[in-house]
Amino acid sequence: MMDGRIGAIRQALDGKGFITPRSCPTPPNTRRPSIQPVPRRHRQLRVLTGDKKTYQMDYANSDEGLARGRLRHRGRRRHGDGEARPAYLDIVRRVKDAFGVPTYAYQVSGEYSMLRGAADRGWLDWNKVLIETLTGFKRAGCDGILTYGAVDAGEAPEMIERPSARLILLDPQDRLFLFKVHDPRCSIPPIRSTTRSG
Amino acid sequence: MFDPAYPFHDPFWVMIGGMVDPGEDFAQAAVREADEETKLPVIDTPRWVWTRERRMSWRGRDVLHKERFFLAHTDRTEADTSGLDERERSWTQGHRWWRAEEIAASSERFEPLDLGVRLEALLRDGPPKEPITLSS
Repeated sequence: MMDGRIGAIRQALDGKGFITPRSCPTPPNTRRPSIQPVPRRHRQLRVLTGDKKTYQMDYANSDEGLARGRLRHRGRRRHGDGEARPAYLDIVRRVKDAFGVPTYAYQVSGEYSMLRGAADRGWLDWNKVLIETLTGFKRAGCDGILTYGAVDAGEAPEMIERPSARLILLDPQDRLFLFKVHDPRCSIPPIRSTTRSG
Repeated sequence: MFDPAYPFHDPFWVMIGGMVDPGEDFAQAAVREADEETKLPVIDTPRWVWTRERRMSWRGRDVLHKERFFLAHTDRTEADTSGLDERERSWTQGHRWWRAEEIAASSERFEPLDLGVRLEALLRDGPPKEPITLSS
Protein backbone atom coordinates (compact mmCIF):
# COMPACT_ATOMS: atom_id res chain seq x y z
CA MET A 1 0.00 0.00 0.00
CA MET A 2 0.97 3.66 -0.05
CA ASP A 3 3.24 3.50 -3.04
CA GLY A 4 4.84 0.41 -1.64
CA ARG A 5 6.36 2.04 1.42
CA ILE A 6 4.98 -0.49 3.85
CA GLY A 7 5.93 -3.29 1.55
CA ALA A 8 9.48 -1.94 1.42
CA ILE A 9 9.65 -1.68 5.20
CA ARG A 10 8.27 -5.17 5.45
CA GLN A 11 10.85 -6.49 3.02
CA ALA A 12 13.68 -4.75 4.83
CA LEU A 13 12.56 -6.14 8.17
CA ASP A 14 12.16 -9.62 6.77
CA GLY A 15 15.57 -9.34 5.14
CA LYS A 16 17.15 -8.60 8.51
CA GLY A 17 15.30 -11.45 10.12
CA PHE A 18 12.74 -9.30 11.97
CA ILE A 19 9.88 -11.45 10.89
CA THR A 20 7.45 -10.61 13.67
CA PRO A 21 7.67 -6.91 14.36
CA ARG A 22 5.09 -5.76 16.86
CA SER A 23 4.19 -2.61 15.04
CA CYS A 24 4.39 -1.08 11.65
CA PRO A 25 2.09 1.90 11.40
CA THR A 26 0.28 2.71 8.21
CA PRO A 27 -1.67 5.72 7.06
CA PRO A 28 -5.41 6.13 7.42
CA ASN A 29 -7.56 3.83 5.41
CA THR A 30 -10.44 6.19 5.12
CA ARG A 31 -9.72 9.17 2.96
CA ARG A 32 -10.94 12.39 1.56
CA PRO A 33 -11.68 14.08 4.84
CA SER A 34 -11.99 17.82 4.90
CA ILE A 35 -10.25 18.29 8.18
CA GLN A 36 -6.80 17.00 7.49
CA PRO A 37 -4.46 16.39 4.59
CA VAL A 38 -3.55 12.74 4.42
CA PRO A 39 -1.28 10.70 2.18
CA ARG A 40 -2.68 8.95 -0.86
CA ARG A 41 -2.65 5.52 -2.32
CA HIS A 42 -1.52 4.47 -5.76
CA ARG A 43 0.38 7.56 -6.65
CA GLN A 44 3.64 9.09 -7.57
CA LEU A 45 4.84 12.04 -5.55
CA ARG A 46 4.99 14.21 -8.65
CA VAL A 47 1.25 14.03 -9.17
CA LEU A 48 0.48 15.00 -5.60
CA THR A 49 -1.00 18.42 -6.24
CA GLY A 50 -4.34 20.04 -5.63
CA ASP A 51 -6.89 18.36 -3.46
CA LYS A 52 -7.01 14.64 -2.99
CA LYS A 53 -10.61 13.84 -3.62
CA THR A 54 -9.91 12.03 -6.83
CA TYR A 55 -7.91 9.25 -5.29
CA GLN A 56 -8.89 9.09 -1.65
CA MET A 57 -11.67 6.88 -0.45
CA ASP A 58 -15.06 8.22 0.34
CA TYR A 59 -15.07 8.93 4.03
CA ALA A 60 -18.76 8.09 4.17
CA ASN A 61 -18.09 4.62 2.93
CA SER A 62 -16.52 2.53 5.63
CA ASP A 63 -17.21 -0.67 3.71
CA GLU A 64 -14.78 0.47 1.07
CA GLY A 65 -12.14 1.06 3.71
CA LEU A 66 -12.64 -2.40 5.09
CA ALA A 67 -12.54 -3.95 1.65
CA ARG A 68 -9.23 -2.29 0.99
CA GLY A 69 -8.04 -3.41 4.39
CA ARG A 70 -8.85 -6.98 3.42
CA LEU A 71 -6.84 -6.62 0.26
CA ARG A 72 -3.89 -5.37 2.23
CA HIS A 73 -4.13 -8.19 4.69
CA ARG A 74 -3.71 -10.62 1.89
CA GLY A 75 -0.41 -8.88 1.45
CA ARG A 76 0.91 -10.51 4.63
CA ARG A 77 0.42 -7.54 6.90
CA ARG A 78 0.21 -8.43 10.53
CA HIS A 79 -1.16 -5.20 11.90
CA GLY A 80 -4.14 -2.95 11.53
CA ASP A 81 -4.44 0.40 9.84
CA GLY A 82 -3.91 3.76 11.33
CA GLU A 83 -6.88 6.00 11.72
CA ALA A 84 -6.47 9.62 12.38
CA ARG A 85 -9.43 11.22 14.05
CA PRO A 86 -12.16 10.66 16.59
CA ALA A 87 -14.59 11.20 13.73
CA TYR A 88 -13.29 7.94 12.31
CA LEU A 89 -13.09 5.78 15.37
CA ASP A 90 -15.94 3.66 14.07
CA ILE A 91 -13.51 2.55 11.39
CA VAL A 92 -10.93 1.61 13.99
CA ARG A 93 -13.48 -0.54 15.71
CA ARG A 94 -14.53 -2.19 12.48
CA VAL A 95 -10.93 -2.86 11.50
CA LYS A 96 -10.25 -4.30 14.91
CA ASP A 97 -13.32 -6.48 14.81
CA ALA A 98 -12.84 -7.55 11.21
CA PHE A 99 -9.16 -8.44 11.35
CA GLY A 100 -8.40 -8.96 15.03
CA VAL A 101 -4.86 -7.71 14.59
CA PRO A 102 -2.98 -5.06 16.55
CA THR A 103 -4.51 -1.80 15.42
CA TYR A 104 -2.90 1.60 15.52
CA ALA A 105 -4.09 5.13 15.14
CA TYR A 106 -2.56 8.51 14.44
CA GLN A 107 -3.21 11.74 16.27
CA VAL A 108 -0.76 13.92 14.49
CA SER A 109 -0.77 17.01 12.32
CA GLY A 110 -4.44 17.69 11.70
CA GLU A 111 -6.24 16.67 14.81
CA TYR A 112 -3.33 17.43 17.05
CA SER A 113 -3.13 20.93 15.65
CA MET A 114 -6.84 21.51 16.08
CA LEU A 115 -6.79 20.48 19.70
CA ARG A 116 -3.55 22.25 20.44
CA GLY A 117 -4.75 25.38 18.69
CA ALA A 118 -7.99 25.41 20.63
CA ALA A 119 -6.16 24.77 23.88
CA ASP A 120 -3.77 27.62 23.16
CA ARG A 121 -6.75 29.90 22.80
CA GLY A 122 -8.18 28.75 26.08
CA TRP A 123 -11.12 26.95 24.53
CA LEU A 124 -10.04 23.53 25.76
CA ASP A 125 -8.20 22.16 28.74
CA TRP A 126 -5.27 20.60 26.89
CA ASN A 127 -4.44 17.83 29.35
CA LYS A 128 -8.04 16.81 29.80
CA VAL A 129 -8.96 16.77 26.15
CA LEU A 130 -5.76 14.98 25.24
CA ILE A 131 -6.44 12.19 27.71
CA GLU A 132 -10.08 12.07 26.69
CA THR A 133 -9.25 11.65 23.01
CA LEU A 134 -6.55 9.08 23.66
CA THR A 135 -8.96 7.18 25.85
CA GLY A 136 -11.43 7.29 22.98
CA PHE A 137 -8.88 5.70 20.67
CA LYS A 138 -8.24 2.95 23.17
CA ARG A 139 -11.93 2.40 23.70
CA ALA A 140 -12.40 2.06 19.96
CA GLY A 141 -9.90 -0.79 19.96
CA CYS A 142 -6.55 0.79 19.27
CA ASP A 143 -3.59 -1.12 20.60
CA GLY A 144 -1.34 1.84 20.08
CA ILE A 145 -1.65 5.53 19.29
CA LEU A 146 0.92 7.68 17.56
CA THR A 147 0.46 11.19 18.84
CA TYR A 148 2.48 14.36 19.07
CA GLY A 149 0.91 14.66 22.52
CA ALA A 150 2.69 11.57 23.86
CA VAL A 151 4.99 13.48 26.17
CA ASP A 152 2.18 15.67 27.46
CA ALA A 153 -0.03 12.64 27.95
CA GLY A 154 2.68 11.01 30.00
CA GLU A 155 2.86 14.06 32.20
CA ALA A 156 -0.82 14.97 32.38
CA PRO A 157 -2.00 15.22 35.98
CA GLU A 158 -4.87 12.87 35.28
CA MET A 159 -2.38 10.18 34.45
CA ILE A 160 -0.37 10.37 37.62
CA GLU A 161 -1.84 8.62 40.58
CA ARG A 162 0.23 7.18 43.32
CA PRO A 163 -1.72 4.52 45.17
CA SER A 164 -0.02 3.48 48.35
CA ALA A 165 -0.90 1.31 51.29
CA ARG A 166 0.16 1.57 54.90
CA LEU A 167 -0.12 -1.01 57.58
CA ILE A 168 -1.16 -0.20 61.13
CA LEU A 169 0.60 -3.28 62.40
CA LEU A 170 0.01 -4.04 66.08
CA ASP A 171 1.90 -6.54 68.19
CA PRO A 172 0.19 -8.66 70.88
CA GLN A 173 0.48 -5.69 73.28
CA ASP A 174 -1.28 -3.39 70.79
CA ARG A 175 1.89 -1.50 70.12
CA LEU A 176 2.38 0.01 66.68
CA PHE A 177 5.43 -0.68 64.53
CA LEU A 178 6.99 2.50 63.17
CA PHE A 179 10.10 3.32 61.19
CA LYS A 180 12.09 6.45 61.88
CA VAL A 181 13.07 8.08 58.62
CA HIS A 182 14.60 11.32 57.48
CA ASP A 183 14.33 13.49 54.44
CA PRO A 184 15.66 11.58 51.46
CA ARG A 185 15.76 14.56 49.12
CA CYS A 186 19.12 13.50 47.83
CA SER A 187 17.66 10.23 46.60
CA ILE A 188 14.34 10.71 44.89
CA PRO A 189 13.37 7.94 42.49
CA PRO A 190 11.33 8.62 39.34
CA ILE A 191 7.55 8.48 39.63
CA ARG A 192 7.30 5.78 37.07
CA SER A 193 9.44 4.23 34.44
CA THR A 194 8.68 4.94 30.83
CA THR A 195 8.81 1.92 28.62
CA ARG A 196 8.41 1.68 24.94
CA SER A 197 7.15 -1.34 23.16
CA GLY A 198 7.40 -2.26 19.56
CA MET B 1 7.59 2.10 54.00
CA PHE B 2 8.61 5.63 53.15
CA ASP B 3 7.05 7.52 50.32
CA PRO B 4 9.66 9.88 48.88
CA ALA B 5 6.88 12.16 47.70
CA TYR B 6 6.64 13.41 51.27
CA PRO B 7 9.87 15.25 51.76
CA PHE B 8 9.67 16.11 55.43
CA HIS B 9 12.71 17.90 56.64
CA ASP B 10 12.92 16.40 60.10
CA PRO B 11 13.25 12.80 61.07
CA PHE B 12 9.80 11.42 61.63
CA TRP B 13 8.01 8.15 62.36
CA VAL B 14 6.01 6.37 59.72
CA MET B 15 4.17 3.09 59.33
CA ILE B 16 5.11 0.13 57.21
CA GLY B 17 3.88 0.71 53.67
CA GLY B 18 4.62 1.63 50.11
CA MET B 19 3.34 1.85 46.61
CA VAL B 20 0.73 -0.55 45.30
CA ASP B 21 2.27 -2.68 42.57
CA PRO B 22 0.45 -3.44 39.31
CA GLY B 23 -1.85 -6.39 39.75
CA GLU B 24 -2.23 -6.19 43.50
CA ASP B 25 -4.78 -4.39 45.63
CA PHE B 26 -4.08 -2.02 48.48
CA ALA B 27 -4.40 -4.65 51.21
CA GLN B 28 -2.09 -7.03 49.40
CA ALA B 29 0.44 -4.26 49.04
CA ALA B 30 0.31 -3.53 52.77
CA VAL B 31 0.92 -7.18 53.66
CA ARG B 32 3.70 -7.50 51.09
CA GLU B 33 5.42 -4.42 52.44
CA ALA B 34 5.27 -5.82 55.97
CA ASP B 35 7.05 -8.92 54.79
CA GLU B 36 9.61 -7.04 52.73
CA GLU B 37 10.42 -4.41 55.31
CA THR B 38 10.11 -6.29 58.61
CA LYS B 39 9.48 -9.99 57.93
CA LEU B 40 6.72 -9.67 60.53
CA PRO B 41 3.86 -12.06 59.73
CA VAL B 42 0.38 -10.60 59.38
CA ILE B 43 -1.91 -13.03 61.20
CA ASP B 44 -5.32 -11.57 60.44
CA THR B 45 -7.13 -10.03 57.50
CA PRO B 46 -6.13 -6.37 57.16
CA ARG B 47 -9.04 -4.00 57.72
CA TRP B 48 -9.20 -0.75 55.82
CA VAL B 49 -9.71 1.89 58.52
CA TRP B 50 -8.36 5.18 57.23
CA THR B 51 -7.99 6.76 53.84
CA ARG B 52 -6.29 9.87 52.60
CA GLU B 53 -6.06 11.62 49.25
CA ARG B 54 -3.72 14.44 48.62
CA ARG B 55 -2.88 16.31 45.48
CA MET B 56 0.68 17.42 45.73
CA SER B 57 3.14 19.09 43.48
CA TRP B 58 6.24 17.07 42.89
CA ARG B 59 8.93 18.18 40.52
CA GLY B 60 6.50 20.61 38.98
CA ARG B 61 3.87 17.98 38.34
CA ASP B 62 0.58 17.34 40.04
CA VAL B 63 0.45 13.97 41.69
CA LEU B 64 -2.59 12.50 43.35
CA HIS B 65 -1.60 10.41 46.33
CA LYS B 66 -4.20 7.83 47.25
CA GLU B 67 -3.41 6.18 50.53
CA ARG B 68 -5.23 3.48 52.39
CA PHE B 69 -4.37 2.49 55.93
CA PHE B 70 -5.03 -1.06 57.07
CA LEU B 71 -5.24 -2.37 60.61
CA ALA B 72 -3.67 -5.78 61.18
CA HIS B 73 -1.93 -7.80 63.85
CA THR B 74 1.24 -9.80 64.16
CA ASP B 75 2.24 -12.36 66.77
CA ARG B 76 5.90 -11.45 66.78
CA THR B 77 7.86 -8.44 67.92
CA GLU B 78 11.29 -8.91 66.42
CA ALA B 79 11.52 -7.17 63.09
CA ASP B 80 14.06 -8.18 60.50
CA THR B 81 14.81 -5.16 58.34
CA SER B 82 17.45 -6.83 56.23
CA GLY B 83 15.00 -6.74 53.33
CA LEU B 84 15.25 -2.96 53.00
CA ASP B 85 17.02 -1.97 49.84
CA GLU B 86 19.94 0.40 49.71
CA ARG B 87 17.84 3.48 49.13
CA GLU B 88 15.43 2.63 51.90
CA ARG B 89 18.30 2.03 54.25
CA SER B 90 19.75 5.42 53.35
CA TRP B 91 16.79 7.24 54.85
CA THR B 92 15.87 4.83 57.63
CA GLN B 93 17.30 5.63 61.02
CA GLY B 94 15.61 2.96 63.10
CA HIS B 95 12.38 1.37 64.19
CA ARG B 96 10.51 0.52 67.35
CA TRP B 97 7.09 -0.38 68.75
CA TRP B 98 5.00 2.46 70.11
CA ARG B 99 2.02 2.52 72.43
CA ALA B 100 -0.74 4.84 71.26
CA GLU B 101 -0.47 6.98 74.37
CA GLU B 102 3.30 7.24 73.91
CA ILE B 103 2.76 8.59 70.42
CA ALA B 104 0.15 11.06 71.61
CA ALA B 105 2.44 12.33 74.35
CA SER B 106 5.63 12.40 72.30
CA SER B 107 7.28 15.48 70.90
CA GLU B 108 8.60 13.46 67.98
CA ARG B 109 7.02 13.92 64.61
CA PHE B 110 4.67 11.31 63.22
CA GLU B 111 3.04 10.72 59.87
CA PRO B 112 0.16 11.41 59.87
CA LEU B 113 0.68 14.22 62.33
CA ASP B 114 -2.24 13.20 64.56
CA LEU B 115 -1.31 9.54 64.57
CA GLY B 116 -1.40 9.20 68.36
CA VAL B 117 -4.96 10.46 68.72
CA ARG B 118 -6.11 8.46 65.71
CA LEU B 119 -4.59 5.27 67.02
CA GLU B 120 -6.05 5.78 70.50
CA ALA B 121 -9.50 6.19 68.94
CA LEU B 122 -9.00 3.11 66.78
CA LEU B 123 -8.00 0.96 69.75
CA ARG B 124 -10.79 2.35 71.90
CA ASP B 125 -13.63 2.19 69.36
CA GLY B 126 -12.47 -0.60 67.07
CA PRO B 127 -12.40 -0.41 63.28
CA PRO B 128 -14.95 2.04 61.84
CA LYS B 129 -17.77 0.79 59.64
CA GLU B 130 -16.53 2.98 56.83
CA PRO B 131 -12.92 4.08 56.42
CA ILE B 132 -12.28 7.43 58.05
CA THR B 133 -10.89 10.11 55.77
CA LEU B 134 -7.76 11.70 57.14
CA SER B 135 -7.22 15.34 56.40
CA SER B 136 -3.53 15.65 57.11
